[in-house]
Amino acid sequence: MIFSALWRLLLQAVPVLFTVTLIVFALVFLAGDPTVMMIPDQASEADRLAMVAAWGLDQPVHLQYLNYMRNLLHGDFGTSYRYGSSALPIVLERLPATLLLAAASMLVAVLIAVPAGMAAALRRGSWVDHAVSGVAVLGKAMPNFWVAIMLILVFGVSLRWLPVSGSGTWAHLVMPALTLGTAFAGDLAKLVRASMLETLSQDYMRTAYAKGIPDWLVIGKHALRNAAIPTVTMTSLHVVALLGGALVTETIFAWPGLGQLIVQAINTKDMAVIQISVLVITAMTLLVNFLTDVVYRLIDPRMKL
Amino acid sequence: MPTSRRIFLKNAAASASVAALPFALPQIAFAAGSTTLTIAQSNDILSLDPANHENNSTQSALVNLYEYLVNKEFPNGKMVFTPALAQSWKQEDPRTWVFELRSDVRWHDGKPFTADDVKFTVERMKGNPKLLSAVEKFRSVEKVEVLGPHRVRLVTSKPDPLFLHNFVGNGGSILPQHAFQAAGSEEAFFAKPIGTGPYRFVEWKKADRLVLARNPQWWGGAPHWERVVIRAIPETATRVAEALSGGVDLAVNIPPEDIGRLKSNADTGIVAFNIARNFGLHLRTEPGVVTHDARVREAIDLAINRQELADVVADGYATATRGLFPPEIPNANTRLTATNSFNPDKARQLIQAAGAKGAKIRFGSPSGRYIKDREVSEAIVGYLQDVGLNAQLEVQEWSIYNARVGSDSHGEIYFWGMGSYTDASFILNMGSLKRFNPHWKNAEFERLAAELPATTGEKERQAIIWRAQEIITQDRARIGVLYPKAIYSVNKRVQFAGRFDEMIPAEQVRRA
Repeated sequence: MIFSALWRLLLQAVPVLFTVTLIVFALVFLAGDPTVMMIPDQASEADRLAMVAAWGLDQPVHLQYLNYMRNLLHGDFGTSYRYGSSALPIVLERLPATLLLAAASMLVAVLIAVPAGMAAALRRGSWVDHAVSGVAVLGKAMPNFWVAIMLILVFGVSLRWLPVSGSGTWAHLVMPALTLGTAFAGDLAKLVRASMLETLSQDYMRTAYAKGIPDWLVIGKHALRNAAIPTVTMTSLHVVALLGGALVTETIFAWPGLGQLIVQAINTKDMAVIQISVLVITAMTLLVNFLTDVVYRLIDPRMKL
Repeated sequence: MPTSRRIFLKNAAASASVAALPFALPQIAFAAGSTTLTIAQSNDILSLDPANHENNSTQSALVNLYEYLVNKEFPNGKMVFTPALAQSWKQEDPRTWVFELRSDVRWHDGKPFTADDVKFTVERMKGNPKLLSAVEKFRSVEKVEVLGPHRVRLVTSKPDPLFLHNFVGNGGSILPQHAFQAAGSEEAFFAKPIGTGPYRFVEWKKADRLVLARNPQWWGGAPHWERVVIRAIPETATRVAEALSGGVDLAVNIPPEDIGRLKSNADTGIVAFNIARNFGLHLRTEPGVVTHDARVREAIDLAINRQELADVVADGYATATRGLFPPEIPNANTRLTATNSFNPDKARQLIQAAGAKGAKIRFGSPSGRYIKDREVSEAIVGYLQDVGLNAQLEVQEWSIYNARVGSDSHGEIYFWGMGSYTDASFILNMGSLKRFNPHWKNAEFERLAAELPATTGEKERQAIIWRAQEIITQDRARIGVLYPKAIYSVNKRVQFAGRFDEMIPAEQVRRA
């Protein structure tokens, strides 16, 4: 079953990726000539035109696209105008940082939101419920950049417990992951609370209690499992958003992820880097969607891949 | 309520974890005796190829890895060439230069540096139009002759008074022929490049850091630092926080509003110094626009209170001027000062006389490309409104802003921070001029541009270049406004005065 699902994923991926190349190529072409961003102040118009010819940008657009696709199918992903080297390694070397930050921030969000959401649902109307709702709204209301700067000032500058920015050790990951994780935790906690409340009111829950099953087992096995499906959906959508790069957080913490790279590439009209980045993100989005389906199946055996 | 054993253990574990946290975390601030120098730039280096970028921060990092034949220094505000890989040089005739190279220089792989490497570097540039430095470097070179292992002759197609500038700055770094050949491709070489500099390449983690290590074989003696780490920190607030926390020794591009915090911090200080950049306005001059009228352009010039811009907007970290090149740049016209340049009453009269009262002026400005660019533009728009023009600020994102220069689609005025020039004769580069001021024409200026290449006498050249600067500023096709200063944060454990060319050679940063 898993193989047929993978095969379907592949069949779905090819036309999607092809369409993406076409759309990105058209958009970057419409954005204008990349050589204006490359040449120094000293260069004349003739110098710029020489560079246009050297990069093959003087050819008709359809020929440029066909050349690009032909090279792509031969494994040549193009050369970055900005870096002057192959675009694929430039994008791929940013991927681990992006994946690491996405995973760490998801972990933070889940570790905060699931217990908090559950506690709020189980003690509905109590001070716990009100506190969770209040903190969730606060978490949503605080802009990422503000939280990031506050964390830097407290833990980086005043206490000097954590490095202010950069990457390389687990300590570098803490503040960016907290910034992104806490922002998402608010939404997620509210969703967990609502799903749990709905599940707790079901007949089978009453039956479980009536059978004398211990509370922790009723809540952990029956309530949480059934409440998990919308949580998984929302988390997967959030992961997809993070794969495109969390630009503000990456920039503030000088985190070398895809977000910064894509924005720089767009600013300099670096076609090859934009193309590869979008292709990689699209491929990963398809993969995350597939994995989400797998997780659904694990949670609820009635679902089919 | 009595404390149960379980609650007691839980509380004890939590307290112990919190107390242990500072010890478990890595030590963040550098110790005073650290042999690592950490520099925070505002952008990542663009390339390890010194001939394929147009970026000061990149070259500022690469000067530690590669070296030039000659260096440029600015003692007492005047530029001079000093020996580097070439220990001496002479001109055999106006077109022929001979360099005597150092014989004690080795590449980072231990192989000797020779004249073949100089020939290779020059010819590589001439053979590849994709290299960005090819538009400015070695264009006049006709022939490179290796006269011996440490002797090389270069012949130019015509007399080139700026010839030595070719060997300094972007594209001037000497590259190893043998290592290129051994690597098989340029990409393979630049994956792990070697140079002759005091520091050798260790790692480039893009968008994060470039790491260099001491080159024990350096011809200049034992380098000062074990390691040099050049970090990319684009967000200003983060760069300042890194400086405050001791995470970096030097941090570039500090905005004036953060200077107080850095000065009041026990471990940091500030250095501010002149750099090769000017803020100026480019005006449309063609028929059909309000700034076609010379009286309106003069009024715009007279409406600007440059001293106030320098003192208030730039907090004193800029010099008011009407010039286009800071005085350290050879052949900069030092007569173009800001003295008596502000006269709003006369500006109002001129606008009245030209019938331009209330005329719409679209004023283009970038935001954040240069320190205080938007704020300077906002203030100038205010000055123009004050003298009766309907000036409107158009702030654009940099890539769009830059593209609008190329497509000639800015409004009546746009702000530009011209920089990284080596000589004021740049003003007579007609190719560049036509790109930035496509409609401006002046017969005398064009005659001077035609005369300059054939003029070799230093005084005669200076007279032409000074006159050219006067013409373009008197005609107000370009209006000089400010010479901004660079502002760096410097940790007190190191000493660095800053350089006019904005390079940061690690060997010039010393432990205090």
